[in-house]
Amino acid sequence: MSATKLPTTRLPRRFRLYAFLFSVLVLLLAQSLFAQEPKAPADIFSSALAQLKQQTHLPILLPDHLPPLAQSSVYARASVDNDSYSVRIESDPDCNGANACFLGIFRAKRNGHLSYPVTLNLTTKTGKPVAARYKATTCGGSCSSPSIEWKSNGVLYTVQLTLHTKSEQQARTVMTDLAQESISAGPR
Amino acid sequence: MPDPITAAFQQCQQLGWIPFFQSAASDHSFAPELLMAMGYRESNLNPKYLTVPGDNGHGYGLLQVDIRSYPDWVNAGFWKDAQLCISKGAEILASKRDGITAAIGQTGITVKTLAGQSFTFDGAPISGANLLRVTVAAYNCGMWAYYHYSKGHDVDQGTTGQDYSKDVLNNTARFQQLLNSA
Repeated sequence: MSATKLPTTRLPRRFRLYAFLFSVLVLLLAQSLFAQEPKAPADIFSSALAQLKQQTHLPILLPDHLPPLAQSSVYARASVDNDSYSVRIESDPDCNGANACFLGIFRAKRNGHLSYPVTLNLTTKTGKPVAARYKATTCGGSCSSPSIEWKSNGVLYTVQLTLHTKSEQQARTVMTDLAQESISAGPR
Repeated sequence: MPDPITAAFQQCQQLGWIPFFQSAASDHSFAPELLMAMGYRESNLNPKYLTVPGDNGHGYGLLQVDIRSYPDWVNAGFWKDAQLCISKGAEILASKRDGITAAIGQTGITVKTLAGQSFTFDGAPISGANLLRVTVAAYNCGMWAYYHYSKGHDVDQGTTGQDYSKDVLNNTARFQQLLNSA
């Protein structure tokens, strides 16, 4: 008797399992589709971005997210002049530009020139090559964090970040991905 | 409330650091206001950095001497002493000036990154204000400052925030005013 009852009790469980798997699949698909839509830049840029949009005519290129930095608390402040903008990121709200609390900078400068020693291959969303270069950490008495630069529509973009990475190689990968992400996202 | 530079200067006075800057500057033929501006750029001259490192745990003391370049000095704990920080900073700055001066006109000068990659360049003629600017930038990024100068780039291209020497030299004038009026 019990043998004949088994299929009737298993079928709803299987059905529930299939329904669960189906809903997971739908969620993953939705997430994937959402990921292809343009994203907002990382939250840290929100106030700086509002200021930049009001004060600069340069196309603003920023990444969707910030990679792990050396400190968890971050403060951003923007500055603008006729031919450039910058967003400086620091670990202390009273940093006053000191290197000790420097976490990074995003800069754009009209008519700037590429100057770093390592040539990279970046592309636009449509596959068009973007001239880009990179420098690893360089040291004197203190040190200067890794930087990446690329040129787009006559504007030189530079990003320098004090990353929380295990190696210089990893830092280069993170910086390259960040630059590519900023280019692909397009002007904010 | 004083501006941040004036506040930092007044704190140096209160902590008795001004003679340390004057002595270190005299030992290495620099202006004391230059060393103060460098200390301000590196650490805001904040005594907090005599107790905790900055720059992701790499920079030590008032001049943020990097443990990757000067492990013995850092590990000896000298960075906890303001006078030793200032004299070490001046010593390093002088070594950068000497290194650049010795490389003037040389070909095939090698510069390295922390990633281990090497690059070469030919040393362009340099003197006076340009030598000082490149020397200050070199405190932060080493011979890469002279690399950029020799290639015709902005000497701050390789520095933190791409404005290190410009910022330091601007603030040097401010510290000079404060020293003169003290």
